[in-house]
Amino acid sequence: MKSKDNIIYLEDFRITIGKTKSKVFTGRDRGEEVRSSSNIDELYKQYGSVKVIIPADIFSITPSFLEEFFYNIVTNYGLDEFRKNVTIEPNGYKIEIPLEEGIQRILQRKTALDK
Amino acid sequence: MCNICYDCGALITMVGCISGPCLATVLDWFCKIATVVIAAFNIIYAVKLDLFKNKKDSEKEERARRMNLLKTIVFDNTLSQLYVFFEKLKDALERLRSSNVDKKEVETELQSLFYVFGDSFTIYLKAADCSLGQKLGDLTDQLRDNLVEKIGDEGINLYVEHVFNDSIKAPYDEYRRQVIALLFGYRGAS
Repeated sequence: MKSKDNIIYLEDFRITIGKTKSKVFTGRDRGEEVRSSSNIDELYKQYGSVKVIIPADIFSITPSFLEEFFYNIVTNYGLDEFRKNVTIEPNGYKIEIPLEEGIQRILQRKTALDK
Repeated sequence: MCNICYDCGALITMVGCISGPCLATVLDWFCKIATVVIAAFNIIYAVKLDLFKNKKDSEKEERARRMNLLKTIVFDNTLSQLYVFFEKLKDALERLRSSNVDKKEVETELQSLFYVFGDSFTIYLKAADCSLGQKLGDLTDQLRDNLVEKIGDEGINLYVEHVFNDSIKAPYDEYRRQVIALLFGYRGAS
């Protein structure tokens, strides 16, 4: 397990079937699962910041995964705090579009719940 | 056990004799009370039926209003985006038939296509009817997740015709069918 302190290596949370490691992070269920097992909410609360490192050979991360993974941090601390204090090391993966979409979904959900 | 006296018409009961005129009065009162009760019941029933019908009519009108507004405000301006998305997605996926394709490039393009679709169509649907928009969002997410998983799996040779058809074309076709069925099935209430 490489993750320690407030650095989360998504490598630690890849699905492994035999010798094959999954190259994707998809789905809200998975996002929720990794949020829970990585303890990202508690780490953020404790350290005030978090760094997420994406494995170099990852093929895809979808917004549904990111939406659940970052949901509590964005809703509890706000988008500005999230952008300031959550660092994502993409390692070559173009995460900008799915991340932005994931954040938009969190904000839309939050708005709908606030009504 | 009751009997009637054939001489005076009185009702003879176990406790005594009820005289003819008295019996007529009792029956008369019973008849009047029954008439009032039946009339009251009819009024209550008529009022409830009217209220029920009014409520149903209002609900029907509201659904019709919502469908009209959905058409005018959302579909008239954005429905073309749905079909543009279908076509662009199909074009991007067709590239996977080639064994030389850069899958990463295709993945990046897919992410962009799905993002634009969400921003140009799904969001308006959610604004008009949250539940309908959410169902569309869920269907789209399922397709996206399914596609990237298949594309990212190095054990799946998408350049093989039947593999492509099973892994890519079939989910894409099913998605289109489900989306059209969802929109067609909308009845103004979700």
